[in-house]
Amino acid sequence: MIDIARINFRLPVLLIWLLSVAWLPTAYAEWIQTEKSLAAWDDSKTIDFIMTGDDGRLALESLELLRRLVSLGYQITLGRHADSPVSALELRLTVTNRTATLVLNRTRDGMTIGAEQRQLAETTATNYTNKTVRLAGRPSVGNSVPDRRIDLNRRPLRIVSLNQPNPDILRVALLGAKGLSVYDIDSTQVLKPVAEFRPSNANLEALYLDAGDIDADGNTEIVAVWGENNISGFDGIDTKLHAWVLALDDSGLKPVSDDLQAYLRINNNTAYLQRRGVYEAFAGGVYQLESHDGLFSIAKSPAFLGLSNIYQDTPIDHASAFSLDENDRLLYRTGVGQRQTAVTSVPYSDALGEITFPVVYVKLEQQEYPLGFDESDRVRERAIPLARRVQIDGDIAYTQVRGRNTSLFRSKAEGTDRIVAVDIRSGRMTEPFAAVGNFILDFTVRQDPNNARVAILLLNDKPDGSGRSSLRIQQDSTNQ
Amino acid sequence: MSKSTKPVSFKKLTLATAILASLGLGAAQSNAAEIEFFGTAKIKPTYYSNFDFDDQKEDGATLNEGGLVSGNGANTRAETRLGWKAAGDDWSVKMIAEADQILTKDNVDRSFYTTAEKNGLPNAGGEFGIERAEFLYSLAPAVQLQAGWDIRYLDLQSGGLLYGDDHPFVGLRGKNNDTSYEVLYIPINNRVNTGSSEAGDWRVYSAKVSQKVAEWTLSPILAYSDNVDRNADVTYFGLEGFGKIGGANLSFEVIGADGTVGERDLSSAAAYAGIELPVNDSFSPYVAVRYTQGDSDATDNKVEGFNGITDIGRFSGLMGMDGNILGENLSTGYGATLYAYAPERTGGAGVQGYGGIGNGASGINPGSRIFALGTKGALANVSPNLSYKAQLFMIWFDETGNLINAKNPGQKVDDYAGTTVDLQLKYAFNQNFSMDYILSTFVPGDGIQDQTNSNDSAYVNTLSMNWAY
Repeated sequence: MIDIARINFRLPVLLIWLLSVAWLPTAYAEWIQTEKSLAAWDDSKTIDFIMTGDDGRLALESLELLRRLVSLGYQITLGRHADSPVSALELRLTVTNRTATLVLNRTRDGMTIGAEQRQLAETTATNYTNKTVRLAGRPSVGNSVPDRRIDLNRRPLRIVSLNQPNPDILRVALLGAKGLSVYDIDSTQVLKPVAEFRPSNANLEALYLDAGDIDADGNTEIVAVWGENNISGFDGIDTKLHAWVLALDDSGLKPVSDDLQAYLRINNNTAYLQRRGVYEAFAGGVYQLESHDGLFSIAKSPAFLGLSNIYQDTPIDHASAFSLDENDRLLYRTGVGQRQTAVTSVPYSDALGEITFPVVYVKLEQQEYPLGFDESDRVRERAIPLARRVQIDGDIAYTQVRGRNTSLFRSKAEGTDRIVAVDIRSGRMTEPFAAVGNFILDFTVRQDPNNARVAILLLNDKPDGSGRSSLRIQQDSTNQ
Repeated sequence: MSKSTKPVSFKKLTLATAILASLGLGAAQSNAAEIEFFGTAKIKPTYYSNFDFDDQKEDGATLNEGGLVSGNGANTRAETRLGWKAAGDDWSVKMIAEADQILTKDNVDRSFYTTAEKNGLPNAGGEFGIERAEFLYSLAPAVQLQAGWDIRYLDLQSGGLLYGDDHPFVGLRGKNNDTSYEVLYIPINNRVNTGSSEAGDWRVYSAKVSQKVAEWTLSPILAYSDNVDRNADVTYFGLEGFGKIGGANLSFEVIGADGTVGERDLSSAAAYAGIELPVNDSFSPYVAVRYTQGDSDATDNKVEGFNGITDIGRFSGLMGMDGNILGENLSTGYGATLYAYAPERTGGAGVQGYGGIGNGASGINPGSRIFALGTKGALANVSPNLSYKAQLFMIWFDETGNLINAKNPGQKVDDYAGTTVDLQLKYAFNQNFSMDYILSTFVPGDGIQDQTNSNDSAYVNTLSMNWAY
């Protein structure tokens, strides 16, 4: 979402012009190298943005660039004028004859520090019957409600939204190593504690969190999963799962199940369970968790045949599902209930980026000696990252794209993470919320009382959640 | 979605990216090698006491991995490593540079200065060398070419009686479903013969096939030791197994050695068996027995004392403890060298010998029978990331006919060698830093007292500070 206050007075003029030509169909790709350079720029984040060219696509290309510049924290001056303040950078976009050229100059010495060029092609939305998920055109700018950011004192790894107690208050649950906490967020952007649940086990790491009305009683239940890791053991780390179904009422947050010692998940108000193996992170099938008179039991037969991982596979309905493969690609699958070989799927052409935390540690059947014989040199376990969240809400599935990363020789992270939405009916993928210059650890999307989509992002400076933590509340920029 | 282990320890980037980044040119897409950098640093303040089992005598030098030290006194060993690994789809290259030293001012920041000389070596100090290297290429799905000098072993999951070391090797290995194999050519010594009868080559050829059967892994082992240096030809053959029965973890091995040592016939054997029964997180007791055959008569035409290629008991499955006293160099009285649990040097280094670390084991050694009791587990009730391991070994010599009684000359040496007690406490601050402390003692039995004419206990106290990244 563009923060209007950060763009100078020429923006309204630009917007009028942009909107007058915004109907032109255009395919938008990322300016990957330039974005990386801009994200890594640690001097003054001020920039002159200059547009030239006669191609009608210039408008939307410019608009998208502006949106990205703002999300990266830049203060933008449109054009260059004698009375303009001196900006640190100059970004010049030229679009002519379907060719877009982007040049990034350093103002103090005029040196060109980045240049990219690409052809602009017409977009043809892929028919979903081809089972291919395609990135649709980037959204136009809608209402400009600024993002809200709330710094957190704790370092949670998971977030889920709960029913709003009233239209002005968002209610979220955050899962961290110490426990599960429910907060209300009002317009003052202060987290007000509502309830908390703390397991008695030591050495816990947050693994997964979900919410839904799984017993059809009209109230939302929460499922929370932790992993217990003894990092000092002589046989390696072997994660023990601890998981509860919890209910929130006026008396607080209380478990309504035993410690199920399994993975749990809620999808479309249905709870699922899967167990660990001795040497496998996920073993056996995925089972539905059934409710009978307030008690939960595990169904006798697997919930969806042919799919084997409670977090990688997300049922859409009885006949189709989204799956994430080992290369972080999103798959659309049909043939649920049939053997795996009957599943038809075509991967999303671009990987969604590697998610590395949280992890489950699985003991190796035979320990390895990559460094030496010493006890501390051995490798005795594997770390298995849990799959990214896929949240289905009506006809839309949301998931996250990991574009931010750290490299060995750069102390700072660069790139952006973002939430993407997949229309289950058409297969179109859109980006309804602005990219962020932090690691998205988890997210939750909900409808506000005005039926507008709101994304609440759980952010951190580091991909493992050990850095500064914050929440960011984003409004849908597409007005869908 | 299987990922590499220790996700916080290794940094990865493509080779092209690394080069471009180092030139300030930013990230780039590449199909080039993926590179990992990693390292460890261990600082080990240590105190040895009475390695000769005699309070009244000045202890001689003993050897640990950092070099020569006093058998009665303090030392601080530093083992620092920097490793990197480059890998493509079907190949990899790993190298680990290491400096392992007993810290003094002369071998740290003063490694190089004019006319520096220690222990007869110029500039003997903290220089890094390639301690380990491993080069791999997959010729076919179940055929991987391997070469280098890295950790390789034949029986580490059980008793460590036969071989585990980082000697140079060339070989093949592979895996197909539940079957895996490894064949190695290990040129341990390849000296230029200068005319000395003591110099010479030592080559080992080994083959091991591992078959998984239900919850068991069974591995026939065959190794041929062409020990020119000792004028010995030895064939080792045996079987290793490990697996589960109910909730118990079991492991065993039996090894036979057959061949010639000089003009003598060699026939010897060794065996190990252990069972661990985890009760809960804090209590996982085990019982194990370890046997190496001894030589009954040094003057006959038979060699019966068992020598492994490298006895690696210190790092073996149940009974291993990195830094306990039995795994140190106890050259006096008991006769086990660094890493070894068997008294392989008793009888004289290399006397009728055919292997052992440094090719210094004796074929007339008394052998050993060790009965081990131990337990390990977490101490979460005390502190969340605190663990312990405790064990007691009762050690007998297998044969005492070649031992000399200094306490009662002319009488037979008692076969009870002594008792060791090891206690290890480990606290992990996080996955990148941990500390552990080992208190280990060897209380000599009559068998050692008879030989040394003394009865004082030997101790090791070691505090290890371990960084890994």
